[in-house]
Amino acid sequence: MRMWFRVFRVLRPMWGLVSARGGPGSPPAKRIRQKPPWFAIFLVLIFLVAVVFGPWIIPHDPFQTDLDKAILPPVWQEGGQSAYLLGTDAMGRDILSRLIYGARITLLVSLFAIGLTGLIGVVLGLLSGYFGGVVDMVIMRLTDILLSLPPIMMALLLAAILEPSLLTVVLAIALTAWTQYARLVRGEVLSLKEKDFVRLARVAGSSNWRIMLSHIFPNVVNMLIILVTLEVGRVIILAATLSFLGLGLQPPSAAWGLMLSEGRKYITYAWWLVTFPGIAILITVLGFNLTGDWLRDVLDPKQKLR
Amino acid sequence: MQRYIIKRIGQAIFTVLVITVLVFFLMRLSGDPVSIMAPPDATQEYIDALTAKFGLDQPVLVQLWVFLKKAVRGDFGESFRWQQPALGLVFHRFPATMQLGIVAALIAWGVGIPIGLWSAVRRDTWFDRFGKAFALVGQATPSFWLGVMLMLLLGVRLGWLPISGREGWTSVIMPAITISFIMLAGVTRLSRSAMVEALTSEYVTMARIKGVPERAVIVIHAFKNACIPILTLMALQITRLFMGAVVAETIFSWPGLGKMALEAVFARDFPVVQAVVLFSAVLFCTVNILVDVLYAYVDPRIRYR
Repeated sequence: MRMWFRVFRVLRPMWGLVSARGGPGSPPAKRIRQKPPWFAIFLVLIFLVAVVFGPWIIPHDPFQTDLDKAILPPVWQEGGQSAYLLGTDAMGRDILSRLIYGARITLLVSLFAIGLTGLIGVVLGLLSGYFGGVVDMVIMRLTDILLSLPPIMMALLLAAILEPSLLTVVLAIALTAWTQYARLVRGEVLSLKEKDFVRLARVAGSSNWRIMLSHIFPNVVNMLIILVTLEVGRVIILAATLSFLGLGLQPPSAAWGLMLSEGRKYITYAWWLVTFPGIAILITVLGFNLTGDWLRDVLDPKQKLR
Repeated sequence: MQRYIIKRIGQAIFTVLVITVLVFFLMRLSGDPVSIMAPPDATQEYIDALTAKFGLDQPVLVQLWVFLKKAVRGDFGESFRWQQPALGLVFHRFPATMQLGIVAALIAWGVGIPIGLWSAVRRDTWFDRFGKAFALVGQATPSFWLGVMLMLLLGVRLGWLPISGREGWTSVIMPAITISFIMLAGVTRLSRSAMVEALTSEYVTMARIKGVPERAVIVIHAFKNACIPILTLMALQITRLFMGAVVAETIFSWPGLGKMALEAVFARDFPVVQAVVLFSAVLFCTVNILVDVLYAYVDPRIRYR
């Protein structure tokens, strides 16, 4: 019971997103005037339908190879077959099925990457902001240092050490991107810890951990949600880029970046192999970016996240 | 001002040092390079000789110390693959990447900043909406896909531009556009918002009230103040250029640093990977210092913080 109460307290700020009621510090009038971003919702829905209903709507097994049906063009081009709407790849696998299946991979990679990034960033940000002093200095120096090491460098280093895989992608993103989360959380904590409810909690004898987790953290969640929605697109592109370069997921995975990279060999006569995976990424990323922009406009009128 | 510069240089040296140590340990965590280099039927003596040659038989801390001492002198050892000094290879490949980077930055900033600024001046007109849509789609377009699409259309279908290699000025165009796209959307959006902020500020209203001509208001009062956030982003984007370089050089077989780095990773050519990472870290730190000093000149408020 106590645990559920805690979960509720952490999730409560999210309620503002669905109920259109005010979060802290936003005038209610502005919130109502904002139109829902129908186009963004539509794009994200395409992605979510592919993720949720993928196994039931794919016309073929995405890993079933059939060399008799290799490199079939899309259905509207001469030689296309109606069973393979977007054509097949060099192994005779159905492109549409692989794209739909790839949505799940995209979601999985992004969830892991953002989860780990958020975890590192939030913990270090909380520590940095709450304790200040040496802890703060060390963590902030670390973020400075990582800022001069681009994510691709981290990925190259990691890929040299580990075999390129999902883990390389997740680590490469998390180990470089957490700095942004840490800075945001730190900034929020610095102002929150001077608030009365934190002082009262301290007077009441709450431990540092308790204050951080159940008094400060729930007040940062709102900001984090906006940051995450703004970042999803970037993470998807980065993950796809790493797979494209061969530093991420390996064949026969249906990751979009990998499909594109495999199609590159046949670019002179099979345009569909390199075109459709890119469009899938474009639609997904555009959907999330538009949603993120809208969320920020609605929930962050002070534009702390620009 | 001098003290500020010295402080920034000190910080940069510390940063590079930490990255050096980090890189060293990450590299040592990975597999044994000797087992990759030696032929499968190599004798034990041959393997031992190779191990000793690269100093891999020493304790790790001794290796680190030797590594640091040599790194200061710019000696990262010989490439396992090419049997040449690693840093020399980096310097050899760098001009090609720099050429790409400069053209890409010129395209991105030359297109993005004017579109952003003009969108802000002509706010809520069709041009502004076009600029916004352009930035949104640009941000959602993976650069590697753009590169492949350019290759498909301009190279394969129309045959206007060469699809690979580095021969003649035409071969720069497609890889440079590919890289520029990583930066283009960001710089367009930021230029717009910085300019909007400047145009709605009190000093611009004041200038208008004084009867300053609109063109002078835009160029002298608003643009100058919009420059600072734009400069910040430009500095950050130089770090991102390298990502684009790896992608574009791989797609278009451009003989630059990014392609070499990627190949070195796949070949587990540690000295080259180390040299590339540290070289770029030094490069980015230098760029950051230069930008910070530039700020201090542009905005005197920064100098004494």
